[in-house]
Amino acid sequence: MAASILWAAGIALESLILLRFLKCRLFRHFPLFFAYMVIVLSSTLILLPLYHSAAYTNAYWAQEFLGLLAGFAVLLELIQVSFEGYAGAKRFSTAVLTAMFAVLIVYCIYKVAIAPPGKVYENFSDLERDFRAVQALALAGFLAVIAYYRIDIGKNLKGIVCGFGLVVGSIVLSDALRGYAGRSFDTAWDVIQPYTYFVALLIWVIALWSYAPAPAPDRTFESGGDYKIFARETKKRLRAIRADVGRAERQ
Amino acid sequence: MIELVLFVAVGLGLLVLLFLVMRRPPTAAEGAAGALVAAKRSLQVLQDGLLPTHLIERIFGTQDLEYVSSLKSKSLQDLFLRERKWLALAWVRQLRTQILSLKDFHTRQSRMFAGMSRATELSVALDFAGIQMECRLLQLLVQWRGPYASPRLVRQTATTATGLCAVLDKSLGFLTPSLAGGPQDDSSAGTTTL
Repeated sequence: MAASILWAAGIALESLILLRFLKCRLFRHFPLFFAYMVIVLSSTLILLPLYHSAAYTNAYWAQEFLGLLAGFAVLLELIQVSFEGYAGAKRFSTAVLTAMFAVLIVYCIYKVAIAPPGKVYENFSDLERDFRAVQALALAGFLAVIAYYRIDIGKNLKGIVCGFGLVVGSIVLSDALRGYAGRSFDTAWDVIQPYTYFVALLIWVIALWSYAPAPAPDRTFESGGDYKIFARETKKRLRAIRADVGRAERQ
Repeated sequence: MIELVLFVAVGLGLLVLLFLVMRRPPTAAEGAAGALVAAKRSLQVLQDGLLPTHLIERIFGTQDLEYVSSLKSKSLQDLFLRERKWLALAWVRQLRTQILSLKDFHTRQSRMFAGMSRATELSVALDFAGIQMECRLLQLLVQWRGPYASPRLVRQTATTATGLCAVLDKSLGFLTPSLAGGPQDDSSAGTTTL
């Protein structure tokens, strides 16, 4: 009963988020997150009538794979939008995420190619866990860049990151524990997954109720210098300081 | 089992990082001008407040200890050592704060550069992380061994601060030529005597 209520509430919240996106024209600012929500909602609605049919397994894995790819697209959008005014940080993060995505695609092709014909779904299950782990790492990298460069991403993006991180982190954790504990973890898994997703939906509803752009950075000195000289000077002095501190500690 | 530990570490690590980043208060929108003022203030704190030789000698020199010891009062000597240790720790803490200020200044500028080198930036980030850890270690050493245990260590720390001063000076000079030519440079590093 509780699961049904949670499931129905989830659909209601997903619909509400999409409605707010349309009403406030948020899709113009976050088109990939909008597409992600459309995929999530439509796949839920498509899977529902197929639940007792033979086509369900195929549809389920197709939906899972599409959801994972859409998740990566959301990550890319997070980087593009968050670092809009920060060319350096954007360059750094985009390169890291693109490289991670390329490695993942090659890994995915390899994993499917080596699987025996009857065991492709089994490999998909492993693949999903690996995908989520890489997504978690990419998101952690994104958070580290935000913290390092002290970038204020604004209420909307903060909400997207928070909800998305909660979902990805809990999936990685519960998938790992489920893989270790086996069927005995299923009861906990059935509670953790839907409730975490419900909390994430609530966060998205609150954070994306209206458009709230991030404060623009002050660019007073942007065109005034050469990065190479700036970084080289900082690095040279840092090395000297580090050597001094290292010597002090050894004494 | 190794697989389980790895995946749990990734999932848990993400959730902890998410919590830490999200609970951080939004940075004040002080912009580049504000960052420059903050960096200049840090430079002044170092040059006028932390680095003068007489101040370091007053905190870490043994003259005060010798005087208090000559009074032959155990309780007075204990009180003095306790307070002097607190003062020395505050001094090291201030150094750490200035390194954080330099990091803040560097990141505020470098995040804007379209021509940023990823390798260099990663290397600078690792250097900052390393030096912050080393400063923390110094803090622990002073806490553990006391202010008089290692005068050479204090001298090296002062050298560190002088070097930091030069970094700020150089960065400020590079971005704003009118502010260049601060009183400290590399040649003064390591000249503090105890």
